[in-house]
Amino acid sequence: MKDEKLIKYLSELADTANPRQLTDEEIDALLASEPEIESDRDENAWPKFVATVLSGLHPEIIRSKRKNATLGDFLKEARRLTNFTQEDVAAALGKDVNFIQLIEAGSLSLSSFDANDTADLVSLIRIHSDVLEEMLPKQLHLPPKRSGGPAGLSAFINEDLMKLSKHDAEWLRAVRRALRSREQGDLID
Amino acid sequence: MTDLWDTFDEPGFVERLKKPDDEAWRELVEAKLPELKRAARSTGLRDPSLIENSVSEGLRKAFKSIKNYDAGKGSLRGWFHTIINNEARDEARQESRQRGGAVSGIISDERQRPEPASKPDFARQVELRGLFDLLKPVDQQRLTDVVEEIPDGEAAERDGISIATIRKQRSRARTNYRELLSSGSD
Repeated sequence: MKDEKLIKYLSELADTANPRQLTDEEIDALLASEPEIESDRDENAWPKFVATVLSGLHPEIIRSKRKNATLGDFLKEARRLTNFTQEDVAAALGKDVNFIQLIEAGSLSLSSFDANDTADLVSLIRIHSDVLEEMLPKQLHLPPKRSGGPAGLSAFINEDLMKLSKHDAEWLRAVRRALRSREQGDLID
Repeated sequence: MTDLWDTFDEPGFVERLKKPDDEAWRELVEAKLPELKRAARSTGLRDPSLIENSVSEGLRKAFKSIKNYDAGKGSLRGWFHTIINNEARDEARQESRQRGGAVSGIISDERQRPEPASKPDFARQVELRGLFDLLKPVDQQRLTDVVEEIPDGEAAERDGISIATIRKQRSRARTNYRELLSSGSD
């Protein structure tokens, strides 16, 4: 029954796939049937448009990166594909253009940016938080001295000794919390 | 009709849109958004957030596919309105389904092929199902949600994402399915 309903819906999608282009007369008739209302106007039309285009740029969430790629590199690539300016992106995010310039310059450590601002940016260009984690530097953390013997040695070898600094780990948690609060669970899970 | 659409229809402006030139897009979006929202409402769509979503998704599709616009086949106005109209019709059907009612008469006109009186034949069913299976899991989920009449809020809560994202993904799932259909029929 469920499959039957699915096939019916897919058939409906197929049957309405390629309607011919509307003529000016048809458009005029459609518009005549509907009065203009105040809420049709939107002062934020352009920033919203930029945000929609950027968020739909990649069909899938970005879950991997090439070595050394920064958040700024992803942003520059998104702008190259769309020709949006730094000001356009800043407006879409509701941030100062300085934020975009600094991200693209890549000269500051990622965790020096506000976690909420960063969450807004990765939400916009659809980067998974695991990729963000890969962009943070890791440091060698030697575990406390262990007792000898094969079991202790095995634990030492298997342990990931390269870890985020305490500050970066806390910052990443803050970004993930911000993503969760923005209902962007697909960028965390 | 003499208004900004005539200016937009000039080859120079169309070329700027195709570039894409952000100033040209900004000019068009800011000038024509109210008209496009009004056109979306004319399909019978009533929920303001669905109207907003239809128009923004329609404009996103227009931005993505403007390179395919052929002035020889019709005006730029007709091209934009057709994209928005299709988006709004799809959402109006969805809105109607979620209300549990029949599809409004306003949105069924002679532009659309009539709904088949009987279910598709077996070969067609296999083809439709096969193409569905080629979709990404997220697209399959969104289309399944429609069939199972899962309210947007429930789907959003289940998947940990916003209602706006559910709607965008639904729109993109429909587009992706139709693209598979057209590539399959080439």
